[in-house]
Formats: sequence, C-alpha cells, structure tokens
Amino acid sequence: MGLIFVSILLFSSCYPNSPEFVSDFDSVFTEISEPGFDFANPAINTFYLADTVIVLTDPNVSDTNLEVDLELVLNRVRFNMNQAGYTEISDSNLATQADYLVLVSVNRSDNYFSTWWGGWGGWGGWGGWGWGGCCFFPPQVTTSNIRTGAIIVELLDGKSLQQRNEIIPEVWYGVGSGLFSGNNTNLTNRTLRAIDQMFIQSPYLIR
Amino acid sequence: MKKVLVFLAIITLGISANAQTNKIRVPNFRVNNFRINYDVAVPLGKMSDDFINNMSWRGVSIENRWSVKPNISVGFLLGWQVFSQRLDNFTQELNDGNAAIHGNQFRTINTFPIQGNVHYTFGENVGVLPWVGMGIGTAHSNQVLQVGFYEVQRKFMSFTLTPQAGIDLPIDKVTSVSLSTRYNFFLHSNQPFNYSFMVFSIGIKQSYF
Repeated sequence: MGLIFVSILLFSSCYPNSPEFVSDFDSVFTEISEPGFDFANPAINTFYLADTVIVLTDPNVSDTNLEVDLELVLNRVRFNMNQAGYTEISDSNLATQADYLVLVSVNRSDNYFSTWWGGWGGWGGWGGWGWGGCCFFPPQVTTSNIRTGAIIVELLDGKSLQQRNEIIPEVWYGVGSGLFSGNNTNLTNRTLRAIDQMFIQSPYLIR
Repeated sequence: MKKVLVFLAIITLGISANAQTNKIRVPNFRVNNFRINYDVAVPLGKMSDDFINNMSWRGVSIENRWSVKPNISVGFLLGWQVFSQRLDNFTQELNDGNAAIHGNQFRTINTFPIQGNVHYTFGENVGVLPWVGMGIGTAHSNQVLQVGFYEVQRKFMSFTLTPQAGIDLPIDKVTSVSLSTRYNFFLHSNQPFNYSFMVFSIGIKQSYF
C-alpha cells in the first residue's frame, strides 16, 4: 500500500494528468491501408457484410466469453454503412459483386503479469556468530490481469476481386480498443460507440 | 594627554566603525548567492498551439551566482518544469489525414534545463536590487502523448536560450525574496516544434561570502 502511495506521488508529479477511468483507455484508430485508393469514386455504392464476426481470441490464453452480443455489433456496422450512403447486398451469392466487403472481428485478450517488490534479505548477520541477521522481508508478489478488448472493422475492395478464393486487398480499417471491464451494458455501449466513431473520423467514406 | 586623546580617538572610531558594519549591508562585490525558486510557466507559440496550452503550476529551479565584478555575476541554473494537459474525446489526424486516432489524450512535457548564466545588477547591494540576465545551456525533455493504450514518447536534448529579469527584495542582510521572469526558448532538431514558454518565479535568495 505504501509503495502504491509513493509511486502515485512520484508519477503524478511527473505526469499530473494520466488515465484514471476505464473509459480513458478507450481509443479508436482508423487508417487508409491502401493510400492510392479512391474513396470518392462514384462507382462505389454497394457493400456486403460478412454475416459472422470473427473472434480472434486465443482460447488457450484468454477467456473467450465476449459478453457483447455480436449481432448488435453487426447491426451497428450495417447501420453506419447505410448512414454513409451505401446499399447492402445481402445475398451471399452476389457478394462478389459488392464494391466493399465488410469484415468485422473482435478480440478479447487477458494479459497476466506479475509484479514483485521487496525480498530484501536483511543483514547477513555477524559471520559465524550465530546471529540470524535482521529484518527479513518476504517479496510481495502481485499477479494482475489486464483484460483488453478490441473491435476491428475492415473494408475490402470488392472491385479488385476477380474470382473466388483470392486475396482481397484491404483499403480501410478501424480498430476500437479498450479495457475489457465493466458490466455487459457498459461493454456493449462502448463497443457500439467505437464503431460509430470509426465512421465519424473517416468522413471520406461518406457517399 | 596626547596619548590619551589618540587612544580615545581610536576607540571612538573603532566603535563607530563597528557600529557601521552592523548597519551596512554586505557590499555587492564578492557577494555570492544561492537561490531556490518556485516556477510557474505559460507556454507560447507552437508549443501552446500544437501541444499544451495549459499553464504549468509545477516547476522548481535552483541557482547559484558568483560575483565576478561589482555588478556582474556568473552562475548556473538547474530547473524542472512539468506541463500537462488532458483533452477529452479528441480526434488527432495522423499521417496527412490517412489515419486518425480518437480518445482521451494525455499530453505531458517534463523538461529539465541546465544553464550557465550571467547577470547584471543595477545599483549597490542595498535595498531593492533589480537585475537582468541571460542563460545559455541545454535542456533534457521528455514529451509524452497517450491515447488509450498507445503512447508516443520523445526524449531529446535542446539548446536553450533564456533572457531574464528580476528584482530582489531584501528581508535581512543576507536573505531576499526574489521575483523574476524568464523567457525560455528551447531549440531542438528533428522535433515537430520548439519550446517557448514564459516562466514567472518567486524565490528565496541567500547571500554568502
């Protein structure tokens, strides 16, 4: 406890403003991954949304319970694409004709780490004098688990898809990430807000 | 009788001289002084426009000045100033608009100037003592921008130039309260912007031989 207090005092003096709340760790990053791609091309009108959210979580490492309803996630992506002025092609047989293929993936990652402090062995005592030395402090080991979550939305260029089973170039992606913490409603709200934000900060996607 | 007069004269002069040394303040010549200052700072220019425009309330500096001429002293300054700002729901464009990151941003600058300086004091060291000076040296800075789990940290050295002026208000023979202001210009290469900020400080000056 004392150590925490001292470190707060120490770090707060160097960093008077630092993240305090869970939401302070939320961020949304978007990037044009194909810089030459013409987002303003008037021929781009349609999209096909993959009907399954890809779960990237490694079940050997992390809890796979995502808590957020993935159907809500898909619907929010669909809503934002519609808002941006695109028309959905919902028939999977016609998916190859869509201008954009939209992929959604989510990840939950449990990051365990241990911090330890102390373990001062005390004084060695007086050589062979048989004194046991003094003041042994056992090391304090704390294992923490920082759980993080991420949602990734990708736009793939459907027009460059010549045939099936081909690698489709990604032209844009957005990543919302934050702490996987809070109740179900909170997690859902933050996830959906991240999706909205991806589109807000990418005005070039709007038709 | 004559001897007695001389003796009395010596005694009286001695006493009066003695009395005078109690009254006169230590002359400026060969008076060195040590200062410890509390500094607040206002960012200016690009530093304020592009990064932090909050006033900094966390700063401290120590100085030592050695007198080399009756009115001129040389010395050094070691300082520490912390600038910090929180920007909620801020969208930052990156890479010429090809990317953007949104979130609550935490921006911090810790800067540590190390300067040699020279000062000119106006008047004798009695009463209120105004001075002007110039500091030249380096600064080590640590500039951090945090958004979510992401952090961009830059650590660099700068060349620093600091014109300054102040006034010392004596409270007794060796101690003064010092009010001063310094304009800091920190020039560094390969960084998006140079630092310029105005420091206002209140300090204690302790003179010694």
